[in-house]
Amino acid sequence: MKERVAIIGIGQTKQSYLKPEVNAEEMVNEAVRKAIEDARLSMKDIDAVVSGNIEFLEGHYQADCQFADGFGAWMKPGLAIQTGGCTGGSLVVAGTMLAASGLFNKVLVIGWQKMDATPFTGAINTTREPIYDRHLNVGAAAFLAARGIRYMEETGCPEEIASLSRALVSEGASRNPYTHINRRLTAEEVMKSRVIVWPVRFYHLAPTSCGAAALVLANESEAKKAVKKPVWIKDLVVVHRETSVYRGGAVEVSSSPDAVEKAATTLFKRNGIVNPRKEIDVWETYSPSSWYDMFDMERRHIAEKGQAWRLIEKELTRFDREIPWNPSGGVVCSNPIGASGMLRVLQAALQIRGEAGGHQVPKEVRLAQADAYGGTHWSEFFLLSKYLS
Amino acid sequence: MLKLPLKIVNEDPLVLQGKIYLDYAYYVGPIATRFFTDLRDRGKFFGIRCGECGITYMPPRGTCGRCFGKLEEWVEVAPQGTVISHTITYYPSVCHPVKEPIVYAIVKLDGADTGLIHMLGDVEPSEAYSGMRVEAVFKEKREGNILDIKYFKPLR
Amino acid sequence: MIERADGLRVDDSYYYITIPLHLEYKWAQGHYFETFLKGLKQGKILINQCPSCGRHQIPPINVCGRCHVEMGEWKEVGPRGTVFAFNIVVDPVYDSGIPGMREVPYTVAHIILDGAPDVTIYHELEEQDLSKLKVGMRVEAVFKPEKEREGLLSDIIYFRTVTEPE
Repeated sequence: MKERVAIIGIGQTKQSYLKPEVNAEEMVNEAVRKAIEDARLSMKDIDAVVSGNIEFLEGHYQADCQFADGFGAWMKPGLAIQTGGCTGGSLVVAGTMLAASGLFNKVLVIGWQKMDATPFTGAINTTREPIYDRHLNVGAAAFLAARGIRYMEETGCPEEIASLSRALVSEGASRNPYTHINRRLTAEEVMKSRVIVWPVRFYHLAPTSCGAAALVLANESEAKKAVKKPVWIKDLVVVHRETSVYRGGAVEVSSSPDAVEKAATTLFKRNGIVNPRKEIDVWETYSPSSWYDMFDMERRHIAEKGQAWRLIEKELTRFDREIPWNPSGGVVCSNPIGASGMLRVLQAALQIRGEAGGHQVPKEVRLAQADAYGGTHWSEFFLLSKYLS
Repeated sequence: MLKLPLKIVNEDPLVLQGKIYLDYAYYVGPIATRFFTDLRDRGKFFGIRCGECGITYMPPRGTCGRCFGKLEEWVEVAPQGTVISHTITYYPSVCHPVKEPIVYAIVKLDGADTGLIHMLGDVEPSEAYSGMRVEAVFKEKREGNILDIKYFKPLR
Repeated sequence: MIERADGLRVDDSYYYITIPLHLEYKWAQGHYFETFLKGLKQGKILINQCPSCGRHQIPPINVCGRCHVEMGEWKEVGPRGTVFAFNIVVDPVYDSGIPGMREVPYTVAHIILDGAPDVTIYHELEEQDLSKLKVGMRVEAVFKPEKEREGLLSDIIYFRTVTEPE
């Protein structure tokens, strides 16, 4: 990158199942105002605005054009991005690139989704190939379930482990006032929730949520002038794989490279991280189901293949233990899709600042890893750092 | 048993037809709620004013794009106004709210600074012109949406 | 609060407008997909193989994503195969294409077809009893009677369980 880039402003709305009291523009505006205020800036200081959501979920196309006022984008350069589940990650990538290019000093990045507008599965299934697998599909749940069954078969992991992992993230979520499902749950309560697609139960799945997130990104010279201590985007990696779900991709048989694993491996290698479990202080990952937690820990080299469930069994992944895994509660507690990937970066940045609140991990956070990935098979991995070098 | 709601509409080359039917629930938010209830229950237009920039927005919105100020000052604007721009639609479409030809127009209501997009009525399409003075005609049974205004008719 | 037939919960104590978006699309299938579907009409599962790396593709497309060469080799595979992953759908979901609620339960599975060990076909299984479903079980495509076939993926009704000597 030509210029180093940092996060200097953070804003988010409370995330919830419904937000009937506001329209989308008004919801986004709340997060934008908070981010600008957090950076102690005014809208005049912002040089470009990048925003994104999955448009099919609101039934309103090109909302960014009509909502320019509330987004703070009036008469400013910018762009809109839609990359499905990882839209939030793509937004941070684009914002970082714009700030790193030297063309813009301060970039406002907005991720949002208002999922109270439509029957979710009906809308999200339109992302599927229309004649081959759309009508077989049940949205994300079936693929998560298939992965879960494979994991149990291959590793001997008991069915209860996913529920325990869900209970562990609920410890952080119950202390996060912004997250959607902030109920503290025991593994037994999770096991008792209804089956959606076996073995995936209600609490194992990311909910449908409404919410917005906003970040102000700045280049090095501007970041050094910021009122609050900047959180540096030390590095980022984007990997795209050609195989989509409908060509058997979700559980592809061949030992083809996994996009998420490749992104993680590249990120760690490039930054000299040899033992991620020890060197990364906080993990904020896109894991869309508790059934993905084990798999995702292994893809990030926290554990050897087939061994991650043992870390969960020992409860080491709680927000206040050795491996703080989604201390905010993660995607399984709150999922306003277009904002979800950004919320991972946002939460990791709050941890580095020491401003996370009740779910702040009890140690100095120097390095945090955040990411977004989705059914579109984009994977965006970020390494956030407290110190510039 | 797999059932596919698809229809073959061409054999060679093969083309399949399918549907996407979704019914969205759109919460309009507090500003539009007030705008539509005033329109429905009182037959009145309320815009919102930015004191900083001296602009009255019609329809109203919560944020001024120019100064990013929060807007709270409600102002009644007249049901009469001036056509800023117009066009005539002849082609038929299931999406159209009324039968063609339709004269679509941007109308700046007296007291407002921004234009409201709507239709003109009681006028031959060829006789519509920009700068024309018009007045809102309301539907008899109003439901609280933008079609509570039947159309704008020429002021004579 | 209103519970709509399509599953959406609407808080009607707030002002909202229902926006129907009812669209019909025409999807051109292209030569490769068309060959696959016309194969099904003849009771065959035809897929293609990359001339460079030997990789199979289900359903077939014109290019190998790894080698960026044109796929040319057609190959008949199946109808038997091995279950790689499965799941049973029990929660009713809205299908915007019907449009309406999809009947549950049904079992979907990724199946490795005999002759193409590196990819799976995504389809339904006849078996809906969880205790009888196993990763690695042998299954076979059940085609519709020839006269009823249309050249769609639904020409395979489902995959049924088969027992084979060890």
